[in-house]
Amino acid sequence: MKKEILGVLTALLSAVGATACCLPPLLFLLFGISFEFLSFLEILTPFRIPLSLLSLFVLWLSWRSYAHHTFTCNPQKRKRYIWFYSMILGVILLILLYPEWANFLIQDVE
Amino acid sequence: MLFAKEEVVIKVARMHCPMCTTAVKKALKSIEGVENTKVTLETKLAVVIAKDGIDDKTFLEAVKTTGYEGVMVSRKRLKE
Repeated sequence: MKKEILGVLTALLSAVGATACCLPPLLFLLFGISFEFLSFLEILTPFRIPLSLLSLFVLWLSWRSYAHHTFTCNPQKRKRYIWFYSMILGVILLILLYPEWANFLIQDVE
Repeated sequence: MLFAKEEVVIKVARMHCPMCTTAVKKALKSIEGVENTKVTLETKLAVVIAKDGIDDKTFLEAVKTTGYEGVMVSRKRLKE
């Protein structure tokens, strides 16, 4: 189980790293003040796609590893973990796609 | 006054997502005297229509608040 949790954490961290370059403009749009000190995150821009793919791949590996070891005859447990992984996938997609969806929301508000 | 408006073109090379363009647009619009801004991600250019007399530094500092560096490309006076 440790390996699976590590996989989920790596997937989440990769997702955060993939879109960290968009953090200064997001914070600027949300709070209206400069977050110039975070501009060093721009160096992550070229890694956006590789880190996004890595995030999804590691999550898939974690899921596969879990399913391979644990899916026996316990439907309750199975259902719980399907929910858990679905939620993590949802969170990762939210993180990976926030530069697109948050922009629509912010534009609409303005 | 014959020339009261200017078209200012600024290159923001590091813009890479739709959110960056919105942030740059908002920053430029916050300058007093700016009437219109159009920021394009494909060309990475911000085209600003503003009152004559706003200096380069004001535009570039506004861009800098978003975390990006801007470079002046051109300034052109527009007839009213």
